[in-house]
Amino acid sequence: MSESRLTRRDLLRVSAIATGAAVASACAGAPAPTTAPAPVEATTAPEPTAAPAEATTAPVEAPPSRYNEAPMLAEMVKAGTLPPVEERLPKEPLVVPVIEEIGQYGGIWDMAVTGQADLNGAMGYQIEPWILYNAAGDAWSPNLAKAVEISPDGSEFTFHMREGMKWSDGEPFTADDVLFWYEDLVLNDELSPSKPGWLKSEGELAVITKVDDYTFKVTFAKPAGLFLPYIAYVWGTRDMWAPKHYLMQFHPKYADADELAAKVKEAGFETWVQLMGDRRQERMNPDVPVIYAWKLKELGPPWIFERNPYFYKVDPEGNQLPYIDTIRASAVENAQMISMKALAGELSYQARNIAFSDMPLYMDNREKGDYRVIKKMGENVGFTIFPNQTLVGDDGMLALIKDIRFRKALNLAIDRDELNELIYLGERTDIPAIFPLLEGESELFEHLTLDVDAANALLDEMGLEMGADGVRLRPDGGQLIIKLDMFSSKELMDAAELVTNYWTAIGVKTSPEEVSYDLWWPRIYSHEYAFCGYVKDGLQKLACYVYLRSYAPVDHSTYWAPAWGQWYQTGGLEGVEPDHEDARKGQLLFDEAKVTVDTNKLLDILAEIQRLDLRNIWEVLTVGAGPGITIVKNNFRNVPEVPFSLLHDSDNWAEQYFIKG
Amino acid sequence: MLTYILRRVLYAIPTLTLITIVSFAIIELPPGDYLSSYVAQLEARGERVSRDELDALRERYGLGRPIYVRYWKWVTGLVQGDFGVSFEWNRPVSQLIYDRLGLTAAIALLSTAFIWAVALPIGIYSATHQYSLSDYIFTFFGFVGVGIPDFLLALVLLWWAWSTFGVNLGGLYPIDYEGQPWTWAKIFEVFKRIWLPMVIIGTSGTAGMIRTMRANLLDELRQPYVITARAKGLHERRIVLKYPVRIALNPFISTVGWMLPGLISGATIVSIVLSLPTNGPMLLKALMSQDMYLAGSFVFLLSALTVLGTLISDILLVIVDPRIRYVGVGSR
Repeated sequence: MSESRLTRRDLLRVSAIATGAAVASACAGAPAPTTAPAPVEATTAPEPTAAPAEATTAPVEAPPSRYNEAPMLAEMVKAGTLPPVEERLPKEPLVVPVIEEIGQYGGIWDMAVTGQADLNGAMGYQIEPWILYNAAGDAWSPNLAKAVEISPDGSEFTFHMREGMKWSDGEPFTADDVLFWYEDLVLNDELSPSKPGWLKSEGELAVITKVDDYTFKVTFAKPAGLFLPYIAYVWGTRDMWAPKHYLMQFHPKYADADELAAKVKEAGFETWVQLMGDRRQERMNPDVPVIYAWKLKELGPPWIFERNPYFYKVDPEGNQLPYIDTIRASAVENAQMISMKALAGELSYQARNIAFSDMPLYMDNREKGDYRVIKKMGENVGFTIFPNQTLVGDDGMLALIKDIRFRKALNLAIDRDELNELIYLGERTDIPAIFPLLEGESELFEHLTLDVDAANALLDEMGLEMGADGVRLRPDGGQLIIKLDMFSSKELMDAAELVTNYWTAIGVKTSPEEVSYDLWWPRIYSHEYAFCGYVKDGLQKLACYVYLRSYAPVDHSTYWAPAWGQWYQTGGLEGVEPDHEDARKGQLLFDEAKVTVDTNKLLDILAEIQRLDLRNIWEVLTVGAGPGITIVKNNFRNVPEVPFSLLHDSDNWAEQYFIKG
Repeated sequence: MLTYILRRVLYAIPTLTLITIVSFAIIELPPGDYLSSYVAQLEARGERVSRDELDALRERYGLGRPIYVRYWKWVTGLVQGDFGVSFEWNRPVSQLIYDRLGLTAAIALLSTAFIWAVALPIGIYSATHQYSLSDYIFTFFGFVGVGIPDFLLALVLLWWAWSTFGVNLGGLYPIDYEGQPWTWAKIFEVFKRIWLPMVIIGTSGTAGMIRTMRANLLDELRQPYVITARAKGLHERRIVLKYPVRIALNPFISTVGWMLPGLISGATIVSIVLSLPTNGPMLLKALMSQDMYLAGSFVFLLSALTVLGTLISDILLVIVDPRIRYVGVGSR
């Protein structure tokens, strides 16, 4: 192995750390063994990116000197139907470190979905945020943007785009596409009656201005410390751009009124707003140009996605990505059939609709189906019960819920080890592990240890007398019965059954009741449930702010206090002002975080919010985060085994997956 | 006769109107709408949608408007042959249904053919050989066929094929044919698998049909005209086939019209288990997610076809059973 190659590898490694991506543990020289890849570990949390006021670190890697492309594209170049690869790539393509080895071109990636709605979620491979957060959620690296500069006060963000970058149809991708998105789509009240929350600071919408063709500025009235985490998080926002050259024809500002009216009618819609909404959908409209690695070619089922010849990323040897030619998503009529297909080895890589509880089945059939089972840490915490602090309609129960001793007793009665073993095959972490910022503050987690006697003592102290049949009595008479509204999977229902048993031991009767999809939101928003069971959001570090609802009452879907959350969310117009000091404090801390730009300070504030959450025992917690499983064919390589929590169940760097021939 | 048919068609109009109103209302009855169930589904998978986004979507889909406005819009479109656009698929409903119609119809026709081909001969045989050993054997299997639910049979067969041969019989063709144009190889693959739903759906139907045929024919065989024919020395086969079988077919004919709705949505549960891309599972999904135009259109089509099917049955009955003579008000 030559000297220069070693250097490149080292560089690659540095670059990988900087980006927070996984690094193959084999570093010096020898390529990673392909048959049994060493487990890839998450890099330890890198230094937080210094003061955010500075420009971001440029990619460490120097771009490769020459580029290669997929055979199918090379043919098209030869035939003259496609410009050469050098002209298709931007001046500075993003160099993506490979996880195992340099891949080979070609092949079909087979996955299965249960329908269009499922596909929309499954195609997380069609996500290109401007910047990318690392797995730990405390540092970011460039992605679509070459660099982002932040003004010293944290209110102005200057995005540097990649010069020469193109849409999948070959048209240039410039600041005009961002401006079109902002001025013609977001600012248009017909199209966007409500403006995106992540683009606001203290209720005021940011202003986006063009500096030059490849530079634009996002200016907020107040410092916007959470803006970057929002745009990096996949469900925080989808995009901040739109293909102007294509969408213009559907916008009344640019299109001829009569022509547009004819188009609306032809498509069977009533207004241009619907037509625009329809034409913009990258997973439904094969005509709309994209910047993603794969582009919809045929509307399904099966949905066919084909490589984007203008994709802006290359591997360290200068091969244009993605490696895989085609993604084919076939439809099944029920989720179990996805399991069946996976077992039969018909799917290349499948993360969605693979049930964790079927793990033994998947493990047993690995050889038969020629696949491997990858366990990836997920972001969601295990089964959680939320007592409703703003319950309407049962004052007696509300009084109990508001008593911290009651909440503590309910927590103390749970046998977390057993629950983990029985429901999650022992694969879940304990609760402190999902609060990395509060490491060492063990007193915050005391109520999470099983202690039935202590729980009983607390309930006795509250004066909840034990009735004749082993069920305690409410102060206002009647048995102490907790009605638990449950949502979603069998897994959670099983967990609820266990909790029911634990609580029987302390004289609390529980009746879990499954709530259907359609009833869930009306029920939550009516505030009329006493307890509901679901999961706590478990995004780590900065990403936690993107979905803070489980930690402080800042959203109507804060299950433990929806009315307080609604009050905060609507600026006091609806809902109820928190009558609990710490709940209000959590809201104020969130306010503070929104105008804070220093990463370390943001993490401090978050730690305080989490401290308040734990100290007040707002929820009944059971177990922490755990893996989800992914079925991957043995010849499907370069698949990381670390969580990319910011990108949800989609995989960051999917463009470097390849099928080994 | 013609007037009679005309009157029936005219009666169908208010009936269908009423059905569309009722079905639209029923789909709307549970709280929430397509979007709330859509968001809940996303939540169940750990995805999140903000409330702002939700409101904007609701506006775009026109879900904020009162139900009668949406009903009127849909029903006026319906008259012009436009079924509206499905929320989930964002495609015209007619196209969605049409896409899956061929296969749905193929399975319905094949399984009906299977039922008839198996049930009629066996029915005739066991009626003419009442209380013989073979009658008991057929009867036994008939009861088993009725007793086993289709979906269970489908599950067991799927598992059996997988564990014994390592073959996944779900779907209609192997994944490599997915999205490929229809070639002979693909059609061959379909035929390799389509027998599975055909037999599964057919089993219970067959069993029922055997019993009906047997009972009817037994009744007929005791009629004086049969005894007379036999006394006159007519050949036994001719005696049975000429009139008694024709009359015993009566219930088959009167239910033939019911096959029409089956062509649209038949065998939903089996299709779900076997993952067949037919209309049934789509109807179910549309109902569950309150995809109003799609679900409403399905219900409308099913009702319309039922009305039409009944009419066809009536007409066929008149033709087949010489004893029935329609004397309508109009034909007098």
